[in-house]
Amino acid sequence: MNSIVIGLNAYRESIRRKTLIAFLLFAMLIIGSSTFLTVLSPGEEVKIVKDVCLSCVSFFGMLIAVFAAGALIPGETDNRTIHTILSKPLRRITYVVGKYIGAQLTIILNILLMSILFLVILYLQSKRYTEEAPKPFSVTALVTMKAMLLVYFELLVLSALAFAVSMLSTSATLPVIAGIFIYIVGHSVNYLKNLSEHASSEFMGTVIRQFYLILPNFSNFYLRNQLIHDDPYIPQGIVKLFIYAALYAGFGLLIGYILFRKKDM
Amino acid sequence: MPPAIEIENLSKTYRSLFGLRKVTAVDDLTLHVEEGEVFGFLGPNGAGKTTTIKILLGILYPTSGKCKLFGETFTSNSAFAPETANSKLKANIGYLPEGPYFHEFLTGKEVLAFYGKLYGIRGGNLKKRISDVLELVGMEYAADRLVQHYSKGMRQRIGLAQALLSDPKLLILDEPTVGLDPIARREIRDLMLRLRGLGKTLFVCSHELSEVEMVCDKVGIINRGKLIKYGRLLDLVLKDRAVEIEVSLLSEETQKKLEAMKCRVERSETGLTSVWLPERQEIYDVLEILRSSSTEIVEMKPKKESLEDLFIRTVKEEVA
Repeated sequence: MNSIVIGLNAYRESIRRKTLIAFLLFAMLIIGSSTFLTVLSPGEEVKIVKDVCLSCVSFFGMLIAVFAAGALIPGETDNRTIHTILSKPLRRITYVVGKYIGAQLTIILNILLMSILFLVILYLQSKRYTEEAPKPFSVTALVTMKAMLLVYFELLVLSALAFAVSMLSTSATLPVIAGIFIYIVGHSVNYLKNLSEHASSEFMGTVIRQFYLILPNFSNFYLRNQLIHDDPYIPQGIVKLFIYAALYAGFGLLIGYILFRKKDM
Repeated sequence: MPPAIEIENLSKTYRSLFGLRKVTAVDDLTLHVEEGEVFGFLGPNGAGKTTTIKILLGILYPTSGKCKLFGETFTSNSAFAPETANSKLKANIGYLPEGPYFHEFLTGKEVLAFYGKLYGIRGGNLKKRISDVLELVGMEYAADRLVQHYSKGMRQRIGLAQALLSDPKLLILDEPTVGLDPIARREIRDLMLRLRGLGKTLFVCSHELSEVEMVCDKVGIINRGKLIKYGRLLDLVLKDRAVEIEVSLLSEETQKKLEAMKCRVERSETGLTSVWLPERQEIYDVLEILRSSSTEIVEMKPKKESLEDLFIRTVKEEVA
């Protein structure tokens, strides 16, 4: 129960952060103005909108996730509120889980707002360019919602890992940089597979392959092709992808707790 | 009845990232605070007071030694010490940190509701407790204002209110009167006396020595992590009851004679010299020395050493 109390408080704190508000406004501005970019590719207007908006939600979602998860505990350590909170009858695991819940609520709210605007823009574009969108809008909306859900799964993992790194830091800088690095690496994991097959030695190939197996593969959560072709089929299945994300997120949270459990504040 | 606080051979050493540099903040500290006592924990800046408090609250982990609260072991240096027991014990502790900081986006009432919920207080009971503590610290009028608009004194009062929320048996107050105007300071002091009257145990860490002197039963003075003076306040200051004689033109020869009698001689920049007699019984001998050396006596007064005098002298002796 105390986790919920901590979580709701962390959420209220996060949604007031100017950095996060700025990221959301930027993202909304780009999504809103994506229709103007369509003049660059006549005949592919809807595709351009989908491409720009999905990239925008993924990129700004990443920034919001790493800032929301990475800055919570260092912020509270820096302003010393943490001392008053930890002096209460509260286990550290409760505090850690509560903070993570707060970060998730913030991420969900931001993804929801971006998704709503994305759907509105898509609806207007599909009305305007009917020949380019042969399938009914309900199919487009379903695929878009699935794509947004998978973006959230990716941010669930990313935020847990940034959150774990934040336990080692007294400022938000390290977790934010680490989060951005994990995002880049997570989206490049498929390259590691190719690299392992073409490695100069067998040993190097094995090492790179281990990294490929261990690191979270964020491209699994990126439904660009399905979105562009209005194809609701996801090869890996949403449940499997959720389990995949939940395992990585659970691992991040566990590492975070282990680092925080005996940390001197 | 077990003591409210038992600290046994407590040490805390901070290490740099690779363990190359070590700083000992608390060094083999042992002290007891009985239930219902008001204990003043004093020391200069960086002496180890806040570190000790943080260890008592489980915010820091000791390098060695242990703490017991109400007879139960609270923190341990073991990496696998169970947290659950600490969590239960904390329900009996109210803590006011130094310069309390709260979430700026909350109102005073919301701050109290947040901390109250962490104590497991809910619903009507929480509302009543909030109303009670707001009245106790005199903050009902500003309870619905955002904390970011609070003055330093108001933050201090809300800090005290959140410490009192669970009606704890033990209150740990770190600089409770810092930043308060004289009226508010007086009110906080009266509140501490009232809490003492209610049988609460108070562990007060403060630089306002006159305040501490008025409320504390027992004091401990810590310097560089070591406890250098510890005991009942009356015993400590009564031992040092003395007479101060202010004189002018004190010769070196007379000073030596006085010092041979264990008198403390302090020369001031005004040209006057204070002569402190450790025992009143020797006053006639001292006066005779001064008379025979034609030293002019400006003023003579019996002096009970204040806590501030005791503190400064103890710390200076330790440094020397």
